[in-house]
Amino acid sequence: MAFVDTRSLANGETIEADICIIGAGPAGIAIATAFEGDSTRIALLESGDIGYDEETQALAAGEVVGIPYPDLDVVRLRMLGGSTNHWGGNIRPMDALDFEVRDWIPNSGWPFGLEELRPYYKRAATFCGVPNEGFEIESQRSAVGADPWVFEDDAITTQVFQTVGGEARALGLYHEEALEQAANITTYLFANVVDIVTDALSNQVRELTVKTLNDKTLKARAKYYVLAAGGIENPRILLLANKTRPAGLGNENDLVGRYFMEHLTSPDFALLFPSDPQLDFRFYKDFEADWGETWGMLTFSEETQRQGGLVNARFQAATITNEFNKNIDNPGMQSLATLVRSGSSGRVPDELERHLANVIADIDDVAESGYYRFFHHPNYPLISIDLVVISEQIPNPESRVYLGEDKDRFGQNRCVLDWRLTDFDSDNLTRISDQIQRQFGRSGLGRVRIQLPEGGYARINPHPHYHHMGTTRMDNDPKRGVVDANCRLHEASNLYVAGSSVFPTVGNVNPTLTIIALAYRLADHLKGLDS
Amino acid sequence: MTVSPKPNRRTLLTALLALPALSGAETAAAAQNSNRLTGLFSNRNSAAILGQAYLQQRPEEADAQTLEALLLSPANLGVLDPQGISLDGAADQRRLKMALQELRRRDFDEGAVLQIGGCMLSVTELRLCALAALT
Repeated sequence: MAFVDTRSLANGETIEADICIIGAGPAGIAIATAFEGDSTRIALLESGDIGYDEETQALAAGEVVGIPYPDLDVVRLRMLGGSTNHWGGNIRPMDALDFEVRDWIPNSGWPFGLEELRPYYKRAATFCGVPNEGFEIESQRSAVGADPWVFEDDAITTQVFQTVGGEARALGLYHEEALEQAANITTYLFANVVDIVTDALSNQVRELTVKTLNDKTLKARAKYYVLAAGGIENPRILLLANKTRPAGLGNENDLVGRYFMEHLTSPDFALLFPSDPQLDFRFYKDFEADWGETWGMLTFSEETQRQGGLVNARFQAATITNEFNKNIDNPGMQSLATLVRSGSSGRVPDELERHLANVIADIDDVAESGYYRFFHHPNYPLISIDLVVISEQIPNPESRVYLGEDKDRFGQNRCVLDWRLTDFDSDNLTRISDQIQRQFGRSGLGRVRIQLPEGGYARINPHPHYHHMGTTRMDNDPKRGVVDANCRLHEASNLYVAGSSVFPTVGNVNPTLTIIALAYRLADHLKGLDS
Repeated sequence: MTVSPKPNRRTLLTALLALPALSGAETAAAAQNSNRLTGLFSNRNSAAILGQAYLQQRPEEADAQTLEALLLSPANLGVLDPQGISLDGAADQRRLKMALQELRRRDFDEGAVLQIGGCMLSVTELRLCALAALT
């Protein structure tokens, strides 16, 4: 129908719909637009405006304890499209093993496998304006005219990621017209949900309490409700729904807000010395496609993960360091120079690196290559590639979001983020390091030098990705999960949760594509209920 | 695969590297022997520096004969000299390198590795480096 400024509605007015969605981020918009052209009336309640609104954004503030993390009103956005407005746009489906119960990872396992999500991933790619086949190796191979690296026994494999193009990256703006033109979808801007009201005697949500910054209070009523406000706000809203359930809605088993997970990244963690300085890594560099960018990433095969008891991790070939005699005039050197200029970090290699590079080139038998025959001398080029590791975090119930003492503009408790890692995460980094070194070495592709801060793995300061996951985890057992396999709250028959807060484990890939795929799956489930 | 049941390491090393049989000029031959083994390093100085780092961790291996013996252990000979091959000329070095790559792969498979300056290297390649440091 259109966009409605909720501030302009009458105090006490009731918004009526068949499905009421809280939050117009990627999940909320995907669910809403899945009903486009349907007779189902959708009310999409968005806290913010189409653009950035400072007063609304201030509602996102909270406290950070535990591992240092940027301010909570910085790491997420309250506006149409949600946090995709500062999104890097990197997407890829999760791996099949990510969904399985892995006996070496506590609390792992989704209620369904990759095959269940596969058709929804295709729709999610379309939603993001990228071709699904862009994730395939063959697609990247033909695009860049280069092959991925081959490791012994395929112990390390290559995945293809895509970056959503600039226009589509702010998903709210990208789908604004669709929202505006859909006859059955009304997007209510400046609509802040401050309570989910449940019947005391039943497990039904009766209505939502909505407030505006110009001090109006409204109600929203629907047959079904979807909470899609993000991995930090979802648990906050459930915990604040404590009028009839003091522990919060869905929190009978003290799970809401627990298992907060982020992707763990350590830049400057690993340095690859290719045995052959001419190692072709075009497959791993950004390729500018019509719709965005594509590039390859390295990851451990399922077999390597199983045998090594590893978490899922990926390695991005980030920057190149080199040192060479620029006076050498040769086509091969020219192309190498071009390659290096495009990604050189400017880091000055140390002496040990030079000696390592010299020796492994000999051992791995590239020293007789044309490159070496022509250019080998004391000042020959040294090439090294930064490998950035991005790994999943082990689900940890002590890593959590909970309500603090501070109140927001509406008198609602702000949230506290207490992000915690365990020794298990450090152990995993050790195992990951060991494996990446081992597999490069045994394949003769090069050697990996691990650069640890003083104090070792325990001192690595994880780089935040603004990926907020796991806080309303999915499990068919109410003692182990907040929502069931259909993302329905165990404690409420007509309330569903969408977004990365339902992820039981997080894999190594950025979460947005999976968020959207799950949203489409939930939309299909809701359509089935209606029919 | 044909491997001598009780190989004399020095003899096998000589055969492997297509060196003259040991004779009265044994000292000169031994020096040449080590040179051939470490000859695959195009930058011997770099190898020697890594080799010194290795020997700091394993000082018990800090003599050339011990290193040669370890490099030509029966387990290694199964890779280095699987068919009792007669090596000669430029092909020697090529085949030696291929065999050493197989040993490197085996080391990584079996965990026969060591960390030098944060880099995981195979024991075989480090022993070759150590030999370069000692000769």
